[in-house]
Amino acid sequence: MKRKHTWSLVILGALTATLFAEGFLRLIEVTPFAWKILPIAEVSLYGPDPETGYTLRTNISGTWITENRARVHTNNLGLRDKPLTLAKPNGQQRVALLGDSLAEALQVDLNDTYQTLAEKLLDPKSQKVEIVNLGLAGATAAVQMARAKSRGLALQPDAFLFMNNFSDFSAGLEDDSRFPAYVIQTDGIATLQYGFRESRDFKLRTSRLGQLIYWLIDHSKIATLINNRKNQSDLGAINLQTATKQSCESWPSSSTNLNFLPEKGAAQLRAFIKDLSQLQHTAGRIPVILALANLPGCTTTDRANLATSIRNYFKESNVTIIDFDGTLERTLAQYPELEKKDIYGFGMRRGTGHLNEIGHKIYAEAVANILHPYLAK
Amino acid sequence: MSFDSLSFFLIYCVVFFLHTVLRQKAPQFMAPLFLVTSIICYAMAGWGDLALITGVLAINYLLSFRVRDQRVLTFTLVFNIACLASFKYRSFFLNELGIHENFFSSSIIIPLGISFYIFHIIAYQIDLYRGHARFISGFAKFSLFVVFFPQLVAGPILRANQLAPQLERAWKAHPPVKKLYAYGLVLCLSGLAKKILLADSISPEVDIAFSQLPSQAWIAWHSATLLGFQIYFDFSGYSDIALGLAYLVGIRLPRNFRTPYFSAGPTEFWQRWHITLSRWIRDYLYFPLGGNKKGGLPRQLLILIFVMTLAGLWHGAAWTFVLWGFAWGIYNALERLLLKVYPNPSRNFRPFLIVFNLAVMFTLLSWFRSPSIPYAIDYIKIMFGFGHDTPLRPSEVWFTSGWSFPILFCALMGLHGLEYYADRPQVLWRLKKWNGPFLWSVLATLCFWLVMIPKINVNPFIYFRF
Repeated sequence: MKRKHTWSLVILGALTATLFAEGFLRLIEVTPFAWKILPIAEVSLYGPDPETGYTLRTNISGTWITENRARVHTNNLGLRDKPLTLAKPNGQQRVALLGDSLAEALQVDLNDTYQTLAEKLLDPKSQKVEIVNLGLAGATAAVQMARAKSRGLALQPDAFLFMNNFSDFSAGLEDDSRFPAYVIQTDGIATLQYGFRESRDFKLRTSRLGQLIYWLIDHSKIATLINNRKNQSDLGAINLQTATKQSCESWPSSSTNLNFLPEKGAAQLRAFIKDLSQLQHTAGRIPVILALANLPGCTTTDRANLATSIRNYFKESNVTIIDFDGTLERTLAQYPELEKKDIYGFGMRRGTGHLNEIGHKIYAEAVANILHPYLAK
Repeated sequence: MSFDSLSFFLIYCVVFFLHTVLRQKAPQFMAPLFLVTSIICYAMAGWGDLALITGVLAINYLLSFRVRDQRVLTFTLVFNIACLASFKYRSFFLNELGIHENFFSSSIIIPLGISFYIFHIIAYQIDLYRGHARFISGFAKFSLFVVFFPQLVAGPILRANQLAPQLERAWKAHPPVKKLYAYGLVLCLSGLAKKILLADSISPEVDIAFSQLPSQAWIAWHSATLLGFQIYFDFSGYSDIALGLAYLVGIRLPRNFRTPYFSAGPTEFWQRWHITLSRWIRDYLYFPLGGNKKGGLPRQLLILIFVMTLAGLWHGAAWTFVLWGFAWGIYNALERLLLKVYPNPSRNFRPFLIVFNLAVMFTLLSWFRSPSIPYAIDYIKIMFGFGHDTPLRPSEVWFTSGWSFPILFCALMGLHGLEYYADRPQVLWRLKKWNGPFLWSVLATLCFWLVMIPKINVNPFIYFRF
């Protein structure tokens, strides 16, 4: 009897402390201390998606703390953007922006993201240009394509802008156990595959138990804390993913053949281009622009050669390919006081990581320059 | 292994559970459990560190048989100081001699906690020589005395008569002293809160603040204040956890901090800050050199300055630390002179003296963090308005409100006051009254939620690097 009483007190004590911790975390979040100082639970934004494996869940608010603290809100469509209607409003020009964590931009306020800033640059007065942010952390070319098909088309855009990394293809990844991937078939052709739908993890996340867990995460700071801990070496790693370090010399640049990519990567790039063309066709022959970035270690000449080689891949399609590193370099050249490292990272980690506020301004100008000719039409 | 990590929390839970079971069923295994845990925790630092400490332990154990002979004691002291010098100060001295490109000056990683365990061993050997401590018979017992996990990495620096008798009871399987578990848990909780909620939160701002010289005087004061509290919360947090962890398994360690920022002068400050180091320096360095008993006043003051300079060097192998210690020596000497003229100033001017002492301390602390002597001098110039004011940098903008410094200062001193209040015996009585499963569970669960807070930046305890 005495032992039972002791255990009851222990459980009651643990519950009391947990409630206190919950209240404390909530209290911190409503004070200014949450902004820069005291530790808080990082908002858990992601949930399962049958098309892209994972996605931003709808109407989630909280504070993002990795790299830099920013208030984050996902809108009614599950995008890191302002509230939007699925149908395009009359007289509005809409661009669907697809990209990875740089586009998602959780490290800065929504008003400081390059997507919002580019909107203002393109149409400062009437605000008739809307760049819809379909960015998703860790999104490879395959995930972006799946997202464009499942979400982008429904937005009735006037143009698609894909912000891709060259490493999406040079790595030749075909693991579709967590999100869609271009998997090479027996005939050597790559197709978009959704193997993750059969995974235990995905089934758990979409089950009733999974839904209950997400409900708990959304309503309890303690549950969020546990989820943060679980993800610290998992999703955290995806978010902090930077370009694969490869030297330019490892890709023999040639304007006539495309042997600079590994076989798998070349097949995946061909499949991606085919899907881009198909997307363009389905959307009503709107402009589809691919801004390819992250050719680290390349000199300007090497990169230009490589860009020419890649451009050859696109000869047969109507997709426009942009050497984004070049565009960025030209934009940066207008600000002699800035170096490339100044646009990445926060605090003591300036120089590495995601775009900071300055970086978003520079990116916004580069993106506005890319989009301007297409929207003018 | 860091006390604020989830892995350490889980390991400690297992150790505590085993200790509780062994205490009743097989108390003869309690001490071996402590030894194994200590070795596991230290091995996490790396096999090289473990090999070094094992070698140091073995040699010191052998020497301790004959340490009552003065020649053996001298050899023991030379050996231990040489160990510390070669691993902690080698690069520093060789760089000063201009030797950069050879095997001996290649960059080395300072073994974890070497300054602490070497001082711990030296204290034991000297006490043994003086007849103040009993010989610890058995290598395992001697090893546990040095490597006992709560204090191994960053103190408190213990004396043989403080720890050895308690561990001897554990080895002899004597029933442990009845414990006020709630007190041990409160210490752990207080330490974790200081480290995770306060020190780690301040840390990124301090890093940014000291990455460049401040643009204006009040920013310099603001940053120095933040640094002062970061170091205090970090180190006293570690000490609180160490005391709590040891207390929960029946071992009492001495206090290392007593709200030092309420000190009215340098002597009082060092009686309340890193107390075990201050006492070590007093007993094994200052008094043997003559202290305040031998010679005239000038000699006494010189010894004081010399000893404080060495204390500065103990903190780190850099001229900024030497300068920091030297400045503390001067400040101590000035106080000694003042006391000759005006014997008890704190009777009438205590609040003023506390603020003055804080100002001096934060000024000196800015050197502690400075990367070089010229930087330290420039920093002081800016603090006292001799620098050129420049526009605020973006990183400084967030605390630009004119009221932010006084608000921050009052808030941090308020927390310090809260600590002072919690130190009263009445609080202990209250804990004793409420001591029971409910309170234990509340405190342990709060500790768990604190270590669960995800770590965005890696902030090891500052004193680990000493």
